[in-house]
Amino acid sequence: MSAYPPAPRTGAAPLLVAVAALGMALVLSRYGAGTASPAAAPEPEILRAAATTMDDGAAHAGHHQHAKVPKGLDTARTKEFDFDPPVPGSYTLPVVRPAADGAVLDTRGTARSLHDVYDGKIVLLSFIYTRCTDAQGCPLATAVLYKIFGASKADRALADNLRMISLSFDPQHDTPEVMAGYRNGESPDWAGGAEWLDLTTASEDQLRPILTAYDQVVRRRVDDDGNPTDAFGHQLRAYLIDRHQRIRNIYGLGFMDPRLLVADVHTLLAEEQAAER
Amino acid sequence: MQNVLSKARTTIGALILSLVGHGAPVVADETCQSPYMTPIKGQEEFVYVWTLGMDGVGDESDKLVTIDVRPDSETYGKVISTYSVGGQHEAHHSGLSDDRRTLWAGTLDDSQLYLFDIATDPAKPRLKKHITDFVEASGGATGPHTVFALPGRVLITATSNNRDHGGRSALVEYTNDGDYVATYWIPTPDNMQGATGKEFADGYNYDVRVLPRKNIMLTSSWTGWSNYMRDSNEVLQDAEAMKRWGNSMTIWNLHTRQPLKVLQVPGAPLEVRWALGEDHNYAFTHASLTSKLWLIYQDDKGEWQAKDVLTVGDPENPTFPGSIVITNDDRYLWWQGIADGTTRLIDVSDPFHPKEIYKKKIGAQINMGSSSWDGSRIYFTSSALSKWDRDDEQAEQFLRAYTWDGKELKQSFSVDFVAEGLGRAHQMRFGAHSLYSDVQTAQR
Repeated sequence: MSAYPPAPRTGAAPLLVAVAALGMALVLSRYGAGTASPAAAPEPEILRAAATTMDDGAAHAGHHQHAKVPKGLDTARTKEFDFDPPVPGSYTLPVVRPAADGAVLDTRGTARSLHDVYDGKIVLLSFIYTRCTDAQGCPLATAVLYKIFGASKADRALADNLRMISLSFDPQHDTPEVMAGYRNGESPDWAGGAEWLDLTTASEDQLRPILTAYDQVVRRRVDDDGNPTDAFGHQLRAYLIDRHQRIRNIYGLGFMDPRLLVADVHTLLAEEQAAER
Repeated sequence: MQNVLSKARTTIGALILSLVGHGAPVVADETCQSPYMTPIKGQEEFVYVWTLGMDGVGDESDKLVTIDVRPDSETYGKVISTYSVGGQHEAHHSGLSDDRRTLWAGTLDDSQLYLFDIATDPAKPRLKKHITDFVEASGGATGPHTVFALPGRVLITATSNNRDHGGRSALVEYTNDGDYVATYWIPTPDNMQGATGKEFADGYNYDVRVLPRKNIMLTSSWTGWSNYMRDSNEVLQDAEAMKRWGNSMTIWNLHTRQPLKVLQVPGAPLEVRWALGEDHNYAFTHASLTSKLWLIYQDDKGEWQAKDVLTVGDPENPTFPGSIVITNDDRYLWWQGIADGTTRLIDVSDPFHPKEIYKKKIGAQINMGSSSWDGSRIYFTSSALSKWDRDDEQAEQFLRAYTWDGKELKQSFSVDFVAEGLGRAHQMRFGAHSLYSDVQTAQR
């Protein structure tokens, strides 16, 4: 068991935590994952609900093939994603660009590099800030990772090969302490699935080249008098990165369907298996 | 017996010959942009016009023209900036990245791509990258047309190829920074790539739009370099050339970029306009050669189908539509006729039974319409293609701005692109300071 101390909860103002939790709950509700707070680890029941295993082979995958769907993921259509997900491996993911390195801090405040954190895993990288209250923004991205984590509890390939990262673009507020409390990531409830790390940076100077390299535009909102506020304007972005540290897909609103992200991870795994043969 | 298409071609040929040349297409406006891009729902401040250089006019070069449309500005309705790229390359369409920081402008003749920074100073775009190897990078696709925003990337429709210079072509994907990612060729009878509809496949390409909740991408078809860069009168009298127009649309899996089904849509179906309603699973397109409005829809079994639902104007004198614009409530379409210079309002509230309810002559020739989000302002431009534009005594090049009160179009201002020394006014995009007003933490 980790010797890490209990996650501090002092980083985010209670009201903001409550608002953020509401946003998360709304998003999770949309995705059928029950209720949860980003400041608390999910209950095992929630994870089990998120990890409902569908009938193998039940899903028709869009491109003239039938195959087993990944375990542990709800493949049912929703109003927002009214289609069947593609069969992993039935399509290819082009290399978009190299996934840049950068200096980050983990929740213990230890200086690390992004490439060190990637550590030869397939990575889903999500840029967030903990005070985001836009239900279509960071709470949505985190909710999708929640679902994928749930899937990984029942899908050994995901658990063994995938690493998820939430990286804050608000280092001024989102200190390592705050990131530790974001979803209480050290809780034992997060064991048994894909590893999920919460990162931040030491300063905007360290953050800026990372955002630039990943083409993530972030703007601090200003009030009517032109003074900076606590809110950020940003486009929802998440990145799929292969073991060779190359970006293989970029997700935004409209693509943030956990079924698509999991299909893409399995497509990379299938690509690796094909290359080994 | 003549089939419908060949009869239409004959009719159009006669019409256009009598008018000394008319031509092809265009796109734009806030209701028809990528869903991954933030629309300007208030007052647009600037209209960027990708303009063809014209012999004897100004510096004769292609250029990006910026027009001030801020109602309270001292320069309202005036040209406030031009950026000439030097030379004539057949400037045609432009498109925006998902963050609206970059305007991509393409050329049909020599396949150039110019990336303009419109964020640093939206009133004065500046060139930040010039891509010259589109053909080489894409593996032979030429004539970049639509630039459609995806998260962090753009998808570009190419219109021709470097082998036979015909209409077979591809979709080409780039990063927002202008780095090549991938090429997806349009299915052909000898390479359907798993799609159905072999009997309708022609490999042609023109426009692309998506319906994310259905994971569907839809492309249309036009013609190749050998036709669009040739004098219109020659093409229209050349029976072989007239066979080389697109007659298909292709349904794709958006996520995997794999073609699923080719639909028969004769007559060069050009712009793709999905309805915006959250349960409206249908799109419209306009067949340029037949002046027909087509509906692409999902039937009761979930199959995608195509149906022609209206012939616009007099069938004996086709309007030769260059563009359509859908309103944000999915109730109306603006239809721009190149041949008659007239815009028409089509009531599409019943998409299977649309009807024309209004029309207004805008000029001798119009090609493109571009509307504000709320539909109260609409802009029209004149040019189709350098070798297809009118060159008779009625020839004119302009941008004309109108207001729409639900009953009547009233002109706000007009910019004469010849008198101003600019060239042929082609395609429009909107800009505004408000898109970039917050404090920037990071940018490209």
